[in-house]
Amino acid sequence: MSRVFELRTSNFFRLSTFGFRFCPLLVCLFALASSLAPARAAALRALILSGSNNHKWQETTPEIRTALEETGRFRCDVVEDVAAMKLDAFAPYDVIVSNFNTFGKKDAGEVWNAAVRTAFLDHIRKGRGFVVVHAGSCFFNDWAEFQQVAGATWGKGTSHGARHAAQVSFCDTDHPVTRGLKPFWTFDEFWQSAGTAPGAKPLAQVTPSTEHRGSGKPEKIVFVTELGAGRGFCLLLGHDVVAMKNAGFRTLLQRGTEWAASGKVTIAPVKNWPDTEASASPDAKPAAAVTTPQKSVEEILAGVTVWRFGQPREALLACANLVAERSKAPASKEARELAARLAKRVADPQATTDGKKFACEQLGLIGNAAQVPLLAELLDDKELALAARQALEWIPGEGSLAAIRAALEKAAGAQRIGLINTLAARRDAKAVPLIAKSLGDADAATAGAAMDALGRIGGAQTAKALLAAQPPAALRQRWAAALLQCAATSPTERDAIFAELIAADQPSSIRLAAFPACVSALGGKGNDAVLAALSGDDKTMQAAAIRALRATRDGALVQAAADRLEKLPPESQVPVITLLGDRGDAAALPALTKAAANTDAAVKLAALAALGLAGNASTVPVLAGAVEGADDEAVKVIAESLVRLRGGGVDEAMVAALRTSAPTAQRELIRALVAREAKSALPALLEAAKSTNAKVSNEAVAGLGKLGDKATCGSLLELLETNPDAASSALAAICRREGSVEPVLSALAKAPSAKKAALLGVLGAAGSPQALEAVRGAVKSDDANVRTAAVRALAGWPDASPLEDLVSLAVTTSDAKCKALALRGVARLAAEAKDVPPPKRVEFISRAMKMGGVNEQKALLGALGNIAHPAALKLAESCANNPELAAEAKAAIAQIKSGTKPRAAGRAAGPAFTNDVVKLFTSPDNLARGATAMNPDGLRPDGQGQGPHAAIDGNPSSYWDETDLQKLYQIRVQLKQRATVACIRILGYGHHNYAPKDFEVICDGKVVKKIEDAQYKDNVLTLALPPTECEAVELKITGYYSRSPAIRELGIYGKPSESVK
Amino acid sequence: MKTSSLSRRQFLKSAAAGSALCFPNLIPARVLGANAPSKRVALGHIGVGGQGTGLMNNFLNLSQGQTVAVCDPIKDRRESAAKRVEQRYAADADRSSYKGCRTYNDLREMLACADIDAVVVATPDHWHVPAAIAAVRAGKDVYVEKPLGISMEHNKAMRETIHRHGAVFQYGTQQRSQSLHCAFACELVRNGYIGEVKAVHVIAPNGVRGGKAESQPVPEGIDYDLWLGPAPVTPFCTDRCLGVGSMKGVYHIYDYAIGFIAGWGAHPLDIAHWGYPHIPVEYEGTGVIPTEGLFDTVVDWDVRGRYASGAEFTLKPGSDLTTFVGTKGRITVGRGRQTLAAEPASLLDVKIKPEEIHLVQENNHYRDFLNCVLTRRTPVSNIDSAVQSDFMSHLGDICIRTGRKIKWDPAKETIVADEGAARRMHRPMREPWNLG
Repeated sequence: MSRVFELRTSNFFRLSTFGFRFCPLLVCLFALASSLAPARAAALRALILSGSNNHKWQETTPEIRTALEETGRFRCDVVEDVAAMKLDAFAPYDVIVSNFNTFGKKDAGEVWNAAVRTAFLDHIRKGRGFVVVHAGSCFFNDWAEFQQVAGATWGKGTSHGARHAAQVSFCDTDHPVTRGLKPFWTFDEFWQSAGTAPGAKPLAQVTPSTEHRGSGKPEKIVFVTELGAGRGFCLLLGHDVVAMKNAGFRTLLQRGTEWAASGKVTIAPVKNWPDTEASASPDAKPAAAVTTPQKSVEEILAGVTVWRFGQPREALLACANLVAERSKAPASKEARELAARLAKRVADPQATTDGKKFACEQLGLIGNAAQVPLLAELLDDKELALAARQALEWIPGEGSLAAIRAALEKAAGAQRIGLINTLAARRDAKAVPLIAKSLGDADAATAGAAMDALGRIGGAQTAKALLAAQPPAALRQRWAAALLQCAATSPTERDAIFAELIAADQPSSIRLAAFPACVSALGGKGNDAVLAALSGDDKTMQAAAIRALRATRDGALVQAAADRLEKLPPESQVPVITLLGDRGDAAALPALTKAAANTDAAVKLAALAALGLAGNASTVPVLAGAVEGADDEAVKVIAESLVRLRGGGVDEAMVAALRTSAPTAQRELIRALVAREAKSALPALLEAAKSTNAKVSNEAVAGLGKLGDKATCGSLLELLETNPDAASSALAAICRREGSVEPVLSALAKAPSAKKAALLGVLGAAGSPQALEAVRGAVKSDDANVRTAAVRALAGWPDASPLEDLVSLAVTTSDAKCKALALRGVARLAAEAKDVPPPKRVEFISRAMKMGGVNEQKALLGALGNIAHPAALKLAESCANNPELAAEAKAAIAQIKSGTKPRAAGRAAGPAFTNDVVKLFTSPDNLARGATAMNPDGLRPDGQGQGPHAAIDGNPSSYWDETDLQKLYQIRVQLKQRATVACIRILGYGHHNYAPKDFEVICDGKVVKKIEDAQYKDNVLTLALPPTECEAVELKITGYYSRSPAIRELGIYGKPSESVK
Repeated sequence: MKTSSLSRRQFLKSAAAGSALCFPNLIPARVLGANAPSKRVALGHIGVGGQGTGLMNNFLNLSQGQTVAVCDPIKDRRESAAKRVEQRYAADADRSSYKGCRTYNDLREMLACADIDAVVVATPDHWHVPAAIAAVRAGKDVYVEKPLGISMEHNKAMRETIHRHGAVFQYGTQQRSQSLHCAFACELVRNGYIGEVKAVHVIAPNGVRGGKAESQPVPEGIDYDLWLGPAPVTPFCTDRCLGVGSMKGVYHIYDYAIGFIAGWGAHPLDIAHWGYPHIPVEYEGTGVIPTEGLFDTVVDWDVRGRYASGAEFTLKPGSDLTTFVGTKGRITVGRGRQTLAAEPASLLDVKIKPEEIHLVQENNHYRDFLNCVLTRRTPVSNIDSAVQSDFMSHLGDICIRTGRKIKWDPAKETIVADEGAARRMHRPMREPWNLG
């Protein structure tokens, strides 16, 4: 049986750890024990680096030491002042074990100077070992040889989820460390995408569960490395002592350290291998948990009687547990016995008030009729009245009710209200006459409580009493609510109640609530009342009729309302239309179709949405026909409705409508067909792809890419002639989805030179190894156009695989155009290649820098800024003195530095805006306040994007964002009136993360400013413009950080930037 | 300290003195832009602390509603909230100032105003249901923060009142509307993409221990008696009433809440009920009731249960995730789109077909509420589901507190064959407060 208990055991363990750490006697004993262990081989000497770590080194270092020494194979020393280590510090040791880091410490400095660093490397190279535990390599990030031997560290893209249990398996079972080991479970923090050194060989992996914010992908977590004759062993497990107690971890630490020290492994695996999830649980407590001695019932109750607020509640919890345990059957002997003892304590004059209150509450949970007299007596006790009443409320049976009723006879004021409430909570019908006496109480609170109570208790008698009452104005609402409640429980009085409640002199809220109940009570007869109310002049009853329609199950009534739709005022039409949509009854379609043509915008929108819910194939022409001339909001609703339509033949109806509709409607139909995954529409899409209207054609070709398969490729290859951009993307999409570029390759083989360029473009966008082979071949073509197209394809590759090709090409080619393309490609791929280790990315850029002209070098420096690594910083700094590159180098240096701050990677780089920043946009100087924003680009909002208005709403939490990865985004702000614009300011989604990067600022159609590589300051971009008088300001965005240009706020100002506060 | 009945009498006197209290002050539609609908929902906010102000800000962004009043027994809170409202409307209307957000100490005064259409309840948990019931009985529609009631009876009374009055109710489980990824996950489950559901695993942030149990004088500007409301009278402590961050006692003291098992459990449990609209019929578990400090709701809970179908249920501390395990796959989802994960991963590419179950249309929880007030449609987080998902936390808490297996009869909505446990479905209230 499970119990509630305060976990005392954990304190005990904490104490024991403490004792182990600081008790010299224990340490001595341990040293003695390990020195007496049978010497299987000469002891290996290990030096543990400790004294600084963003983990609890004070606990983990002793654990590592114990783990090593318990094998009898090691003798350990610990150094806690790592920075003070001298040249000769390493010499006596076979292996250096790092449980040290400087993570998060800004002033960590060098730790070791160059001489000590050299001594360390020389020592390892001579055949010694270096072992990293968990975060033990998070320092010396700029020291490549160190990281090389360390194997893995916390890299820029590294993360971890919450600690949890997962299974570690081995990817190399032939290594001395892992040979013969079976997979094991452990409860630990699992690093994902660890930064690994080139040449580090993974031995083990784990798949962190997505349930705990893990990646859900296999993550390598054990590595071995080599340096000269020396060996490195890196174990990313072991976040804390709990993890280190795990037999799997211990085995890996022991065997890995032995191997690093000696190159051999003799240590056997630790026993009790955790081969099940349960065995890895952190709760797997030792069998001999500490138990507190069992206290007797009287001891526990004695504790309760002396308890005062503010003191620890052990006694209360013990008492509550006892009550809980025995209260399963409050009539049982043991329950009655405990209740009697509790009652004694309540009556104890020595007991504290706090203790008595608690005991009363417990009596409520376990008490019986025997305690009623005592509790009834306490109803007059100043301190305990509430606790006693509440206990009586809990104790079932006539006894407690009778006691409360008796008390009510003589009670007044707050006490009276409380007793009435208790009788109501118990639904005590016998108390009705008594409570009814209070209906006319001069104290409104008492009269109100009586009304509530009668409503709750219900029945004909209460209804009569309430109907007879004459409530004062202030209690009218409360009285009516009680009557409404009574209507359900007193059929004989029901009609009278309804007549009263829907009368014109009642508060409108009561009439609104009563009418639907009244209608349902009347059955069919109520329908006429609904229609009359709907068509009448009484606004409240019209609203009440709509509520009745919502509540009714009578389809004929709803249809009758639909027939009267046009005659209703717009604000009543909207809820009726919504109801018709929700009911999904096709009979309402004619009424909805008519409403969709209504001139009132709200009615029209409601009808368009309802058509999506209630409509069928016959609705398609209605929706398609409504697109022409509709505003953005209406088009959005139509689009949703088209996707939502149910029933047979909808897709076919859309295909038919596609042939006859105007271009704007055609686009929506195509989008809807794609969203519906209507593969049967492929021939129609092919036809639409040939449209002379570019937007229709683009949409259709994109649709072919999304719905098509290999069989569609032939047609798309033909479309490359007429609509190369769209067809190329579509083909690439199909190739990626199908996992094959075969159709493109065979076309490439047959194509004349003039047509090869477009096909190479497709291969570049598809980006498979197969495609890369083909493009590499084309780079060597005799035809200059083919060569150029091939290089362009490589430069635009979706992953980093052609980096080496591009750099080599830049070195070897004599064609200036190809060279420039290749270098631009290096800049692009190196900036984005998160999978390639940062030093390697820097090396590519460094090699490319030597080949390029100034423009290419500038682009490469721009890319360098994205690599938060010391090597990148070094390279950028080396360019800072070149006057032609100084500006770009400086920008790169700033970006690298901001990116290398600890934990600055990813989106967690701090808040996207501060209150001060918000003020910039909410300032009255901001001309965008009160203006209207729109998206001429016709793209859809993405994610949490809330449309263009979100960019000028003064609320930075909402933002404008549209579909990712588009070529062009537009946002236009129509000012309230003509004004001079001299400055704009953008608050992006996140600093250089989803924000506009390259764009034009257009005032009334005229480009006034072009921006490339916008550099934000704390996520704000401020741009001075040549002062221009205009009515509309538009941004035409072609480049962006991350995947789309999201804008939290766009400010427009009449004064140049300096003077805007 | 004033007694509650006194403050009520005072109120009645002042209410009788004149109707100026409730003078309507709606901003004309034109001020909020051409697209503003002709009718806007006049909103009153009950409880404007951290969460209440956050909610209010979300409503201030919407043209479908207008905040006309705020109510809080803590003076600083209601005044700064009102100031915030007035500044915001002044900026929206491009005026230097705007007056028109009334402040109330006592919710009864606010609820007596006929010009308020709907209220947003973001009080401490023990006030959620009493305040919302009073609001509905006064003819208002309600947006109620999670969790629902501090007893199972609270939940039932709330549901009964909503249905009887035909009121619009939105539960503050906004994950249903956020970016619609939760909806998608639940649609996959509801439409059978993971096969037959075999297990539902829920994790929510653990409860908190601590709080300083130190009796202090009630600071100026706090109507402490009203703040306590239906809860027993206990000494004022900062961490009880004004605590911030993890020391927010209202979340962790049993008089006002049952702890994070419901306070945060509400979110992933709501998703669990949305995807698999049943609740377990058996509960068993362990947990720790802290005995030190001020906080005394359960922490380190570990609840296991079983649905009538035989499917397994677990509720444990962790981040904020719901996992559905079916015969053909599994889906995990929580707050934020990035939490969505599935096995096989191809499930995430599924497009829910027009003929299948669709759960939601609106991606803004607050707008959904306001639209429903105007159209009388049922909001996405409806009362029936709110009651059930909140039952799960209560039954978990009760099985921990009683230390035994609890059986639940979903038809009769009662704990079976265990009177001691069944008594815990009810919690008496201090006068004059009741459930209507």
